[in-house]
Amino acid sequence: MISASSDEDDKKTQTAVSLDHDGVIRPDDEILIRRAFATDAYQGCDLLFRRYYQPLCSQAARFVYDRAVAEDIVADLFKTFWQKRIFERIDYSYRAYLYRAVRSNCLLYLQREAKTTISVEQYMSEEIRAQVPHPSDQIQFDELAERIDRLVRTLSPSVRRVFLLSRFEGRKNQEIANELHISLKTIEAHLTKALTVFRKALSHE
Amino acid sequence: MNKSQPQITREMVFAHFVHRATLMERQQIESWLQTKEGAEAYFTYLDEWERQFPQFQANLENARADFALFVREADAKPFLDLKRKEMAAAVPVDENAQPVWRRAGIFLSAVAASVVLVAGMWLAKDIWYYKQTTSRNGQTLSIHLNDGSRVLLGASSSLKYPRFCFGETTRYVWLEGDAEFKVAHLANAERFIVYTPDQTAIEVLGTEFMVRSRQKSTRVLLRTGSIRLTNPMAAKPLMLRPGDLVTVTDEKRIQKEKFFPQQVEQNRHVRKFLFKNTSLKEMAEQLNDVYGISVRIEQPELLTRTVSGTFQAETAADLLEAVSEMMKLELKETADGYTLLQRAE
Repeated sequence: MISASSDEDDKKTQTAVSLDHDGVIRPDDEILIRRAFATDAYQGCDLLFRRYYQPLCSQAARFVYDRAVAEDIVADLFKTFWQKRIFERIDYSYRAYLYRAVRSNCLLYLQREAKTTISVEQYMSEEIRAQVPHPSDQIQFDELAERIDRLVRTLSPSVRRVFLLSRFEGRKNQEIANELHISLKTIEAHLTKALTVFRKALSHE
Repeated sequence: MNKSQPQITREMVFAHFVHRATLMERQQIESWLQTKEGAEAYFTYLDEWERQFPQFQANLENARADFALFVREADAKPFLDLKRKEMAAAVPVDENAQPVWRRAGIFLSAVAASVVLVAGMWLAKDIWYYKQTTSRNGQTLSIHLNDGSRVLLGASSSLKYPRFCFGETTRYVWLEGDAEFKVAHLANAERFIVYTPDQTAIEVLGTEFMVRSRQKSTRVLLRTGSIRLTNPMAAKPLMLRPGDLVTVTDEKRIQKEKFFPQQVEQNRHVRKFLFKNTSLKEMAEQLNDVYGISVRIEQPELLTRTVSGTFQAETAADLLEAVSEMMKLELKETADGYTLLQRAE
C-alpha cells in the first residue's frame, strides 16, 4: 500500500480494463472511490462511509425499526469491511455489496432477537442461521420490510406509540412511563407485544 | 421472454419500495433482478430512494469519527484484538453435562479468573510485552530490531517496541525524542508504524526517515521511499515523498515542505542538527531538550532571528560556537549554561 504497491496497482488496472472489455458497464459514480482505494484504503473506506452511511442506516431501520440498532449495524458493517479487507474483493459495485450486506445483517439481527425473546436456551446463533430459511433474493427482503411495516401499523395506537418512542426516539422505559402517565409494567407489556411483530414477520418465510 | 426488461422504470421500482407495485409489476421486477444490469440498477434505485425518503437522518459526523478511531485502534492494537479473540474462543468449550448451576459456577469463575489474568497482564503489559531503550544526554544508541530494521536513537530519547514476534505480526514502535530509521522491507509487506506522544502515526513499508518528536512538535524528514502520516488533527492521511519535511506542532498545525535534497543526503547522523528558518528561541529550546542545558538569549530582538543549514556538532558548545560564529554573535559560558548576545561593535 505504501511504497512497493506498484505491481498491485498494475494488476488492478488490468482487471478493470478487461472487465470493461467484457462489456460490463461499471457504475461510473464509484470510479473516484475505486481510485481512492487503489492509493489509500482508509481514504476509500472514508469516502464510502460519507456517501452511504446515512441511506444505509435508513434502509436498516426499515427492518429493525430501531434507530440505535440500525446505526450499530451499519457501523459494524463498515468495521468488518475494513478489518477483513472486503473492499479488495469487490470488483463490481460497492453500493450493491453494502446494501446486500446491510439487509442480511438486519435479518440476522431480527432472527436473533425473535429467538431470544422466546427462550434463552435456543440462543445459538449458528444453528438459527441454519434453521431459518434465508431470503437470498432481494425481493424477499422487500417483502419482509413490507410485512414488518404492515404489522407495525396493525399494532394498537398506544402500543405503537410506546414502541416508536422506545425504538426511534431512544427513550428509556421509565421516561416513556412518566411522559404518557402509564405504569412501567404496561410499557414493558406493550414492548413485548410489539416484538411479536418481528416474530410474525419472520415466521411467514 | 427475451429482452422483456426495458419497461422497468424508476417510478415502478419506487412504487415497489413503498409496497404499491401491482403483482405483475413485482414479477417483472423480480425477473429483471436476475439480470446483471437489473441487479445493479436495483441498488442504484434503492440508494436514490433512501436518500429521497429517509426513514431518519443518522448522525454522519459522529459515526465517521468513531470509524476513524476504530481504524486507528485496529492498526495500533493487533495484539489486544488477538487476546480478545482467544478469550471469546475459550468461552463456549464447556461441554460437560453437569447441572446448570455448577456449570454456570465453574464457567463464571473461569471467566472471572481469565478476566483478572488478562486484565492484570494487560495492565502490566508495558513491563513484559514491551522493551524500552532510553538514551542519556549526549548519547546516541544504535538499535537492531528483529525484523532487520535499524534505529539510530538520538540523545535523551526513548524507543519502545514489542519483545515478541517483531516483524511477523507486529511492527510498531513508540518514539519519544529523535531517531533515524532504516526500515527493512518485508516479504509479507507488513507495515512499520512509529507512534509519537502527540498521536502522530508514521506508517511505512520499507524506507529511511528521521523523526524528531519533542514536546512542542513532531518533525518527520523522509529520505527514501514513501510514508503515510496520520494525526488526529489531520482530516486525511498525509503522503510523504523523498525530501519532504513535515512538521506537526501543538498549535494544531501540520505543515509539509520540501527539504533540500542535498541536505537530506548529508543527514547521516542524528548528531547533525538540521535547521530551516529555525528561530534562535526554538534552537535554544531544542538544545535544552537534547542536551539539557539552558541557553539564555540576551537581547529580545535576537529571539526571532533564524538559522538555516545543517550543523555537525559533538557537543552543545560546539554547535553554539558554530552558530554564534555564523550569525556574528557572542557566546558566553555562565554557571548554569550559555548566553548568546549581540557582539559589541
